[in-house]
Amino acid sequence: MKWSLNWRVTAGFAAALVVLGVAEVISYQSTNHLVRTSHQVAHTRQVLESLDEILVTMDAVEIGQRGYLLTGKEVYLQPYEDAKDRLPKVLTTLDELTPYDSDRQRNLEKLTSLIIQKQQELAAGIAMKRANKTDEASWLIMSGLGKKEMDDIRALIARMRKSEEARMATRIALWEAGARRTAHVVILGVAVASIFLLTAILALNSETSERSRAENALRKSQTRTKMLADSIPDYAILMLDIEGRVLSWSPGARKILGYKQEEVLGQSYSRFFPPGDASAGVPNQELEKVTVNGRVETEGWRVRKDGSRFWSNSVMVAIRDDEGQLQGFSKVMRDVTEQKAAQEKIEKLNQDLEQRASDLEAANKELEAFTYSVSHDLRAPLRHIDGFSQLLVDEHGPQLPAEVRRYLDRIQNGARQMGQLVDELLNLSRIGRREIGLQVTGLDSVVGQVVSELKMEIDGRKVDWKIASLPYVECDPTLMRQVFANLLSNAVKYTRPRDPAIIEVGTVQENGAPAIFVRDNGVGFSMKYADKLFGVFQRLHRAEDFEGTGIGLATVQRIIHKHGGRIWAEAELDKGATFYFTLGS
Amino acid sequence: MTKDRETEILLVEDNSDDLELTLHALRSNKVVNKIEVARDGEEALDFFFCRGRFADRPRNVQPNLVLLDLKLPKLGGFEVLRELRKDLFLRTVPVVILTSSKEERDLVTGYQLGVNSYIQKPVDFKQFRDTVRQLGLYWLVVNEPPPLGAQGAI
Repeated sequence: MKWSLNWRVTAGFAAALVVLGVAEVISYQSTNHLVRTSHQVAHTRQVLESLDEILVTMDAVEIGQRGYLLTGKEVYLQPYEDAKDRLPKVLTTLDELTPYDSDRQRNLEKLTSLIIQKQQELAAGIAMKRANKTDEASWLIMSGLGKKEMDDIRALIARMRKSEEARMATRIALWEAGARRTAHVVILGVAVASIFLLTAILALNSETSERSRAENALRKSQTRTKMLADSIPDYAILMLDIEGRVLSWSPGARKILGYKQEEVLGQSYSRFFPPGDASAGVPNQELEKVTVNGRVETEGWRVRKDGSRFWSNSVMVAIRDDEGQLQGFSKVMRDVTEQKAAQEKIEKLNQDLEQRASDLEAANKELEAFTYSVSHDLRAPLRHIDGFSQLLVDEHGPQLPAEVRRYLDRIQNGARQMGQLVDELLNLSRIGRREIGLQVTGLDSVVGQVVSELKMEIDGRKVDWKIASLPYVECDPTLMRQVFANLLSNAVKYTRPRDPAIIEVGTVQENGAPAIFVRDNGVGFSMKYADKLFGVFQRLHRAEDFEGTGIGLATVQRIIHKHGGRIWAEAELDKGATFYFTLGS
Repeated sequence: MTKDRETEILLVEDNSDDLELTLHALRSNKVVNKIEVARDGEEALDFFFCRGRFADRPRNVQPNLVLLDLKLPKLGGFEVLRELRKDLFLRTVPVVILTSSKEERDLVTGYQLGVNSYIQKPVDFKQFRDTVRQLGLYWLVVNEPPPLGAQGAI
């Protein structure tokens, strides 16, 4: 729009000038023509006057000659004498006024000869009178010759006059037409030029008012921008010219960079870069990049007035006018030193974590290889010990002393015990490595199965089972079975001295969440050792009293932890024990 | 019954102690007459493909049961199993893995390769003997083997 406005103004003025120029040329030509025509008119008028003068003179000459001829008084000859002097002059003038070799020249020559003829006739009359030949003179008059000549002259002059008058009329008509045309052209030209000028002026006017509106809006917007920039204390907001010199400076810039406005206005912004970067041309590279890309976001160290450094994050934008001409740059800068430090810390932590994860993975792999090897190779010798001991007993039992048989029994017991240990340890490690497969499981049926298996093992002991209704929970059913198998077989084991043994399973509310408990009236334990309860190989009873590997509760705890739950126990020596556990949230 | 077959059980076992105890358990139960032993995976395949030590063995006769250990020299138990299951003629031979471990991945691999049964050797020899007795009874007496010479016709 702006472009066409400018173009309109220019075109308007140019057109007006052209139109006025054309009108000027036409009116100049017309004026020239007018001058020429008026010269011609004046000329014609002079011709007419000369002709009139000739006619009058000739009349006067003839009247004078007749007076002389009638009276003989010399005084009548005065006009004749005058005319003799004047006529040649008038004729000469007329000759000069008449173009050479034209009808008019021929008429003039004819007139001249007529006048000469008349003069001769007049002179002849006068000469006769002077010689007193009055009759001859009267005859001459009477003959009518003089009158005829005079009539010829008059007729010729009348013709010449008429011709000149016609010529003049034509010229005047032409001149009038020309003058009218010129007037039209000039009026039209002025009108057209006025329209063009008016258009241009209107365009200019609207341009001007629009510009002033735009300037107003710009001023307002600049004020708002400045207010906004001033109200943001944590951002340095500055304007740079195309050379990177500071044009404006916000309070935030002062806060972040430490310079007062008057200290940096007109200074290159390269002073905010570390000296190494500045001399390496980093600021100029940045300006070039912004110029090309329009917008650039950078991070890097910058230097405050006091020389201290901070890590900045800045966004720089190239500012261009409507024609796309680069006007300068705006820059918004933030001190993100703390964020950077935090981010570096996080990255470092992440790296550490990754390192640890990969270490852990390696350790896990190693452990897996180890347990695999253990499960294959460690059990074999135990089988052999037990196996050959058994063969010894089976095949040579009767010959062996009782003490040897007892030793063999001990050897077998040891081997089996170790076999059980290995199996339980492998189970524990397997649980640690295994992903748990959660499904909604009814604990009633899990407990029911475990209890029915245990009932087969209690050899007629009297056990009072108090199994409450249990909820459905999300858990790994295989592992949950191991939990109840361990806890309930412990309860069975440690209630061996009781008659009847009471074993209870139920739920309680623990901090608003349901917990499951397994309670017995067995031998219990002292709460002093409660912290050792779930440790691997930790036992609170002698093996002679209660057999066991010390791995069961460690396994239970590991399973509960795998479910995101918690396990704990309450007990009193000789008064029984209660184990509680929750399953996650 | 099974008397018409030359070999009733092929026992693949590298450990001499295990071998002796297993043979003892098998024989004490008196259900098995003819037992052949391969001491590593390669020998086991030699037996099936009638090569090396077993070159004279009639090819069309296969055992009623293979007891296969997993940790074997040269060729492991799983490789042996894989070769058997690839062979049209041998893929129907009943194979029971009899090994020390019951690692889950071994169980999974075994069954994926088409083993018929997987048994962990218990440490307790009495239990082991009992297990072997049950095995022999089941596979040699209770179970109907694939018909002779028709193994590949599936």
